[in-house]
Amino acid sequence: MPDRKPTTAEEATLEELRNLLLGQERAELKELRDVVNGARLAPEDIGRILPAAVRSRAEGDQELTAALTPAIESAIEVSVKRNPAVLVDAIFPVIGPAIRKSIREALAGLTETINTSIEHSFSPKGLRWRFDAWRTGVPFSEVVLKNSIVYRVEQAFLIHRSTGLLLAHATSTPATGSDPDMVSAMLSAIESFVSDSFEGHESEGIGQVEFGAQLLEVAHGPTAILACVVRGSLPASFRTRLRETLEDIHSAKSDLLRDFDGDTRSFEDTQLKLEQLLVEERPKQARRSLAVPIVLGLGFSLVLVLVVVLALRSYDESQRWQDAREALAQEPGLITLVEQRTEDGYLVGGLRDPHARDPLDLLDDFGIARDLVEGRWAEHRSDDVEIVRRRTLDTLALQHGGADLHVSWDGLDLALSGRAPHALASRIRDLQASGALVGLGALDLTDLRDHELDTARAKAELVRGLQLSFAAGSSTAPSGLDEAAIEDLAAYCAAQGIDLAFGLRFEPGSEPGADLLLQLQRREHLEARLAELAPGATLLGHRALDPAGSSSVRLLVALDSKQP
Amino acid sequence: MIRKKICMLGAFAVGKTSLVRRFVEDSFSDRYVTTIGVKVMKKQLTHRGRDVTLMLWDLHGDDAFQTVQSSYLRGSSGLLLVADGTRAETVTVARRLLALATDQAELDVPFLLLINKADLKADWDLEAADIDEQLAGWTVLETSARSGDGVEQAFELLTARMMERDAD
Repeated sequence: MPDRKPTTAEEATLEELRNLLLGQERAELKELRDVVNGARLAPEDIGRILPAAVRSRAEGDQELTAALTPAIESAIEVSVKRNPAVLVDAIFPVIGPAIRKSIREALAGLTETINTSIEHSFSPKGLRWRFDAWRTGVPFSEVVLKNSIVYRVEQAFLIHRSTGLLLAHATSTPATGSDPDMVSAMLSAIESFVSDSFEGHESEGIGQVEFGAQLLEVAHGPTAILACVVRGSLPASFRTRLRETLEDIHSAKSDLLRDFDGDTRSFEDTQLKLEQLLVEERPKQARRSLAVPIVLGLGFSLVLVLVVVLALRSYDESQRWQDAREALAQEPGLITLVEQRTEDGYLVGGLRDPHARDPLDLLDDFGIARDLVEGRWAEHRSDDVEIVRRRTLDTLALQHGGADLHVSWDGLDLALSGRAPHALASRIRDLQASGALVGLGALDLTDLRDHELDTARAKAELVRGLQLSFAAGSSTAPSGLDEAAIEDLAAYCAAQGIDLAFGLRFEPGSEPGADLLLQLQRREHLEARLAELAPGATLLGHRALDPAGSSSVRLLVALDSKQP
Repeated sequence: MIRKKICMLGAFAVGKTSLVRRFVEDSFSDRYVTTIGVKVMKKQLTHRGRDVTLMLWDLHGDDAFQTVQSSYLRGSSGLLLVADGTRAETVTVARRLLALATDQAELDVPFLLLINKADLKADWDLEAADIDEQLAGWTVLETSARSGDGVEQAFELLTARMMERDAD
């Protein structure tokens, strides 16, 4: 074809020629071109082929579904936004039964709880639960619920709905009485019977069968039934779980269930799902709830005892301190100037007579430990009767008295009576004479007998006044000298510590030829003899005063010269 | 494991239960029967090396009306119709029951007709000609629940038919 653009006349001629040559074909060609370009693809044409097209595509793979899903989802969303009523009306037939079923099950659960509650209200168990509720502050209904929901799912059956054939079975108790196949078939038969007898709807079925302590809980799907044999009281949550399991199985096996021909191998993998339903819930044992109160009780008692003990101790301690203070104030020989509680104990102090009681001992008597007490005492001499008496006896070494010595007080006056050994009696007299018994009134020793002195006196009487006579002109061997008696007296007095003294008194006489020398010789002889016989004795007398010319000498005896 | 539901249908006292007893190894107690009108039993057998469990539903029809609850028939893979050779009318009942299964329960499954009481064949009021005439195209077996003759074969044949149907 030339590059030159045809004129209008040429164009018209050419067109006419084309029509003459290709008229029929051109019309058909245009029609086809229009179809191909879509210009004339009428909606009715699409409508005619669309169902077949969708069906054909859907059989191939899931791409059509995937492509349509977003569009359908957003269409539903838009529809709901625009007018919810349309969709509600559409799904009402589905939602209605679902809601009813849900409410029915909820009510069944509630009824179950109420029944259990009523059942246990006045039984011993019920009373125990009421006590538990009261004790723990938990509502009774919750206690009942807690104790009641105890169950064990023993068997699970997956049953093909229309044939009643067993698809899968799981059991937690290996030795079950009946054959699962038979149970499935009978359950299916019973369902049919009930459904026919009560003109129930096909989609409904038996929800629950109770037989004694066991329960058959059944969930229904369009093509399968899931039934569980339960022992005990089943919680409503398990029904939900049962239904969810059945729904899972349905969604995984919908085709297999629909086209089931008796071959159950394809359902072997549902076994695991059934086994997961074999749950068990035991009641919470009372161990914890029992242990807690015991521990609490013990703890509480312990604390109570501790508090009481501490309170008593505190009371007791302050009471004892009070008593001890009074005792300190009244204790003779003690003048308490300080008495106070300190941070870590007590401080006591003042004046103390050496014969007063140790204040620490006194406090100890009141249960106040010595190591808690700090004492600060200055010595003083007390005039207290008790202290004076104590001091006197202490000084006299008479604290413990004596078997034959009696101590009797009249105020500050002391009378000693009875027998005292010579040493004691002598010491008492010495002390009395020395004025060492400070604060003492009169000391009466009238009835105090010095036994040894008495004996010595008796012995002395045998010697006293002996008349010794010298032979004329002799200065030795006087007669009348009882040597044995003198020796006995001297030995006794030496043994008892009694002072013994002898004196010689020449009797006035007129012996011819007796001169002063002879008299002197006689005295010396007697003194020597006495010194021999009584080595410890004292000789008294003045030689110069002896009268001359006397042959007779009298022996004088003195005992315990300190005696009055 | 293959499981199949089979329904036993027949007039009163034709020996359905006896037949099944001959065949099965397990059954529910009789008291269920009077309650719900069906007795379920189980038989396990091997067909061409495959384990097959037959669940036998022994349906007790109301003899006056020769009806059964059609819902029991649902899901059956095979039917055993049972008649009593000594009572010709039981064959008619069996035919009626098959029709019921086909129409009401919409079953289209393999079935056999068992003419029971073969041990009393001398007393039969049923001629071979009658059977041929009435039941053209049916598979008819003679059985005796008392002696056990033909019982095993009947169940095996039905199983084979059902398995063939599946294979198709």
